[in-house]
Amino acid sequence: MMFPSYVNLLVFSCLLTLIAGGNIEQTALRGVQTSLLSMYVPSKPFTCLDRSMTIPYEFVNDDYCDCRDGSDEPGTSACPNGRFFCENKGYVGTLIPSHFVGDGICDCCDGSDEYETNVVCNNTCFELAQRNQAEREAKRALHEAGVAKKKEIIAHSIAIKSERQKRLKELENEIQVAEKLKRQAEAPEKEAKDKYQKLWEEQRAKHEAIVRNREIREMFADLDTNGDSLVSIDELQKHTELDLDSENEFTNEEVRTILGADSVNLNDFNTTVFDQISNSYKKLPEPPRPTPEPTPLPEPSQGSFATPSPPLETSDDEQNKPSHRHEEDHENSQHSSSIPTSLEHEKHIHDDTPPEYDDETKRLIQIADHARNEFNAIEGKILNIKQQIEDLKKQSGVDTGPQGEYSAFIDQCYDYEEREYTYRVCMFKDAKQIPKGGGSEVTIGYWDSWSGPTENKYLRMKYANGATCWNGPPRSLTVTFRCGIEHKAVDVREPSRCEYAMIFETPSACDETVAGTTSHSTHVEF
Amino acid sequence: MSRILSLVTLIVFFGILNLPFSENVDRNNFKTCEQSAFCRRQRKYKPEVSPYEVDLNSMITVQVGHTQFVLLNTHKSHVKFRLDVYTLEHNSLRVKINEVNPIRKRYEVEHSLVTEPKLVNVNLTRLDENLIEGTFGKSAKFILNAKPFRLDLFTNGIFVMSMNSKNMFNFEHYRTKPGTNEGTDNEENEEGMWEETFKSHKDPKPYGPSSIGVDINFLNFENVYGIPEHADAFSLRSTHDTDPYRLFNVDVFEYDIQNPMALYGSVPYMLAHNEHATVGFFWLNAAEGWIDVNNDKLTVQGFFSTVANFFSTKPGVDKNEVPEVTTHWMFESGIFDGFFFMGPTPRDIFKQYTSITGSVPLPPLWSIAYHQCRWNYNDEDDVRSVLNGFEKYFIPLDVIWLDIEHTNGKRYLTWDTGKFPNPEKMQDDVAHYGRKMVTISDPHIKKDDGYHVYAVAKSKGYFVKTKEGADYEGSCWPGASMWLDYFNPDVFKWYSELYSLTNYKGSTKNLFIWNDMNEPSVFNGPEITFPKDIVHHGGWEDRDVHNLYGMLQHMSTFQGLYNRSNGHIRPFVLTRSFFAGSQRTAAVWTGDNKAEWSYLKIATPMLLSLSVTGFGFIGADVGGFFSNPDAKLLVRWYQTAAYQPFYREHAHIDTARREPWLFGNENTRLIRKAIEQRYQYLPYWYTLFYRQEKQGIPPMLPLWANFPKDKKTFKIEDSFMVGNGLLIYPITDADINQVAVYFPGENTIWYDVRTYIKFEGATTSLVPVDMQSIPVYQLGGVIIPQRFRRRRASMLAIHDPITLVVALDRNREARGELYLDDGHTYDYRQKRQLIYRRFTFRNNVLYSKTLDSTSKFETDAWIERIIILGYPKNPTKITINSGDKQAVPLHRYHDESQTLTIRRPGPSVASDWTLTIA
Repeated sequence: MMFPSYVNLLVFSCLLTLIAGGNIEQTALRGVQTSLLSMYVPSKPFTCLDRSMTIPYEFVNDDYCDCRDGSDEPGTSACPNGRFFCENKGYVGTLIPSHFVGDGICDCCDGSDEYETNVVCNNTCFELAQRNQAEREAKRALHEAGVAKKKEIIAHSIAIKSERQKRLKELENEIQVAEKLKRQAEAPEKEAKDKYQKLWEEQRAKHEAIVRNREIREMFADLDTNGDSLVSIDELQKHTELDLDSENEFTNEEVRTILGADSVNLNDFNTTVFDQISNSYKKLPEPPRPTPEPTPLPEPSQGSFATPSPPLETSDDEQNKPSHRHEEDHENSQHSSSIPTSLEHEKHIHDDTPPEYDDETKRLIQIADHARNEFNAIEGKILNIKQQIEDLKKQSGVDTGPQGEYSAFIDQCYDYEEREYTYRVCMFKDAKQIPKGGGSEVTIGYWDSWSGPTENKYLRMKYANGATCWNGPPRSLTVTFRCGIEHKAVDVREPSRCEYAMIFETPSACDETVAGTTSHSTHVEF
Repeated sequence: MSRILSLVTLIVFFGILNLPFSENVDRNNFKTCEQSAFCRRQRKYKPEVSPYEVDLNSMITVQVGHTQFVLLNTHKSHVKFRLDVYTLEHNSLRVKINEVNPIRKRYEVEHSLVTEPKLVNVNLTRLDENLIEGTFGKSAKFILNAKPFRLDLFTNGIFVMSMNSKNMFNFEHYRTKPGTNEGTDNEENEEGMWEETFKSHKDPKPYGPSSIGVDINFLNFENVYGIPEHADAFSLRSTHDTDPYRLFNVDVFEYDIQNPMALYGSVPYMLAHNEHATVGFFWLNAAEGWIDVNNDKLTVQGFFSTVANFFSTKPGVDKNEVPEVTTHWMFESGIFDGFFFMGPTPRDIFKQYTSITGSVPLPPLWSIAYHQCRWNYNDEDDVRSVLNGFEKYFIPLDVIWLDIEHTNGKRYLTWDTGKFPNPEKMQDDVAHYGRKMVTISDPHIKKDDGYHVYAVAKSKGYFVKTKEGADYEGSCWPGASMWLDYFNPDVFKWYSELYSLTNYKGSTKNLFIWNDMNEPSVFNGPEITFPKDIVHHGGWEDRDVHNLYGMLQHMSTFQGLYNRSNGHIRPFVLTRSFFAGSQRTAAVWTGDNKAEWSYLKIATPMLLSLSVTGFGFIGADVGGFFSNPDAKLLVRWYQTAAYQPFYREHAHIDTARREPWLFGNENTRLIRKAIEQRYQYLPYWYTLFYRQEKQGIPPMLPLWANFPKDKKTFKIEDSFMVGNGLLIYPITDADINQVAVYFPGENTIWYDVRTYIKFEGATTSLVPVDMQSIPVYQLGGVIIPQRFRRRRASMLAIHDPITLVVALDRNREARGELYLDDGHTYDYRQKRQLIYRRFTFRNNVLYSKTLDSTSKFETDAWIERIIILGYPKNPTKITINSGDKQAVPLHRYHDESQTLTIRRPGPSVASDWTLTIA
């Protein structure tokens, strides 16, 4: 509603006489806060505390709201925004909203808010003070005990932190040494590889020529069934597998197209026919000949040059990397497979016979393998160290509070047992709801963030993006910490569907300032 | 609360997966007219000439005001009907048509009427071979035409209603099944007459066709209202291109808006209003019903030319053409039992209808204050923390509610003792602040021999039966369930006794009841409710009585609460399902709405439809039951519902918490302010509710109820009135900074209640809108009592002083009433402990006079402030006289807004006084 100011208040001339109703038993100072008593002077007009208006002193506590800020009615319920001061002797004075005055409910422990009603309020200030004192003391003691534990956690955290720093330093040194070794190993390894590569190319070419020649001769001999040293149309026509147009008939014309003539000798066969048919060609079933079936070669071990040589082992560490590093591994393997290896070439020529190495080659292989072993070993070591550094950094990257007071939670899980479910929170990781009567567990959130209010961020933590509810949001959990002697989940609720709230007691949440409260001032000494 | 089911539950209940998971209602769960065989038959029944004729020679006067005739179907001469015409007090006419000697007794509705209506004399003014004319009441007249049968009704000489003028009266008599030897007549045998299948549900219809159709036509009217419950326009739309409006109590999951589908309750009562008259037609029938509405023009000729002089015609309009709303009513069984209310004013109509079906009794004060509900407040700690929130944020609250999860496995009237180990203590703690609690109690009874309610009911045969005589079993929240047969008086009484403090363990006198799911909702039933062929007490099929079931439950609940206090404390019961007459014992809410702007908007027409059909204590879930409102929608909903009768925030279990303080400081402030508005106006609301009990005038009203001659108001449903003094314009769009408000009434003045700025009547004004409030205006000429002081709960304020806001009209006059009592007992009736006063401002004098000199209520309440709006100048002196005392209160005057505020005039609200301004 509108509240026009008392513009013409000063025009009021006559003194008011009041009819029945409106209890006007004036106790001008009723409900005034001790610190403001000086503002209420019976001989002087009263100025609203917001200075919006000045009114006759008789208007103070006359059960009618004049001041916009409600300051003229500290002792009645007239102003919607007023405040009533409960003196509460024996306890502490408190301010209550004006609308608690005279509503039939004892709000002040001294009952002073119900002066106008016939409600009998017992004075509970003494008991309240005692209870309050006891509660405060209990709280203080709890925080004191908790803070002691918290200090241990912090100390431990600091020790771990410095241990971690130390180790990090060591590892960084190690990695420097290793990098140097790696650089040293790199040159011989490359040299050996290059030499070997060149030699191997020559050997391979030689070997391939031999193999091809053998195959041509064998095939020619097979085809030349009449032994006239010519392969004729008739002879080739038997090999219907060469009929590539998949029509049933392998016509003379088609065969001639392959041979390029009515018949060919070995030389022509070599130059014009062999390449055309070598992939499709199959021996006729009869007569059986003792040519060994080509057997597939074992997959090459990456990084090894040749089968006779012991494969260059990658380190166990590298093979057992945690899965999240798969991507990186993949990159590495792509990289290594781009280096051509002999085995791959061998595969192409379908031959399992290793080339016959001469001594020089064998020596080179040995040198190369050795160099590669050296190099890989050192590289593996570097990766290992890097991993350790990364893990260390990750650990120190977990925000365990400004002093590391929540560091004891790292890698810890805690359960809360409720009627139907066990709730398990694995700190900084995830939270689950596990049905007691069997059935599958549900993730109610993954570690998200510290989510307390800005002034006390570490009061709460949030686990978000859990399994989605049917017709609802993804589940989430908010853990609210409070001071306790042990780390313990003490309550879990679901105030809104799929939004869980856990209360967790921990020394980490105990407060030095509460622990340090001296209760001397409230001890009454006689 | 209500239905939404977890996926698992759904699978259990339905065994299938293609269920209503979609955005809104699965319409396939509910019949169309075409799928309901009797509707299909009746809807196409349109003969050129009606075969029904009244045998005027058969006329007998049974008693004064009751005349009886024989009615014949000339196509089926062997079937005789009895036509009873009753002239009733309050300008009303009742017409009953039933079979004479039917082969099966036809159901006549019980429990709905408040009492047997009183007959008054009829003057037969004309009687010739083909018609009878009679006058009755306050210049009302009927003309009964014999061949063909039709009934015409006139009020103040104006032709207003007619029955069977479109020849659609069609009464399907009970008959033997064709093919059986007993069949004597050659009846038509259409598909669906003797059995009908809907989805997988077969309705065997053992008694065959039994439906009745009739056309009721409103001459010279363009707007008809009522027949709730539908999520549709207030002024009913033509059903020419849609299904008819359906009346069949069903639990519609996520109901759609703007359509004629059936919802949770049924009131077969329609009103018509124009600038000359307000009339009504009520067909007392509890079977499935369908009503077609069409806006027509009637060309006046033939028979009508004889009564053409009754038409009110406007200059420039073709004299031979008048508007007419034709309606076609179809019910599956029962009898024709029609009440014609002749008005002619809205106020008369409210009185006439509620004198038949009863008015809303004065609710306890706390129940018209603010309610906080949620499915669910989980446990006692949760309840306490919510209460603490209201304390902490200084938000008034009167009632906190517990939905189904508070029970031991949906066994109503029990507690989940793990979550509620000490319910009495919890209720006492709530009551410490003058507050109350409400728990839910649904009609499905869990099939479990260990559950006392089930065990007793089972052993005594108290459940509804299948036609084979076994206890009917269906599924609802607890799984396998049975339903009590409240039609059995023993069950009705026994059920009511379950609510006694000794029987309902853990209940206290501060606990009240909510009946939900009482259509009833049967998850695996046809159309999610009872099969039509199940049998109630007396052998009646559900087909005959369906729409009464929910009402009987809440009536029994009410009786239980009434008896609990030996008739001293006023009960409070909320129901979702209802029928005509439910208003006597329960408040009603509009069920499971949605957190969308469109549902906030539709709440007003839905509530108006209920209001004009006798339901004054009504509301929609604040915020919307399903899904999450954003802060703006929630604030707007709080602001709107603060001015609607039943004010409860409620939310589905899958929604985020939405207590008023969870949306940031500014929104908390706005919500607090909205709720405080409600509390500020509670003395006015309470007075309106008292007036409703006495006169049947609902507190929430369409504009035309107060401005019946203002044609611009007839279709208005975006604004409404509270009493005759407040005009409310809800803001139902997210981004809006001005609205066009229509101020009804020639020569009226309206005052913005926030700024006291004046607006002229019969104009539309663009008014700016901010988030602080929705537009609310006080009518010049009305005095509204208010309480400007705050309290945490309404019951703590009953002795607080009153502020009178006197809004002057053009003649500088105003009137208003104030009703006060103890807020919760029947002492106002039994001991006449009440204060009922009229304030009148005339010739610069404000009078307070009692309207009930025999009453007395002790209170300290006094008049602390009088604000006079539209007072032209700063007065020189104000004196107030009460008995032999005189005082000169101070005042202040605000020129710009012409507002005079009188400081502390001081008289007791109970005394007579006169305030003179010089």
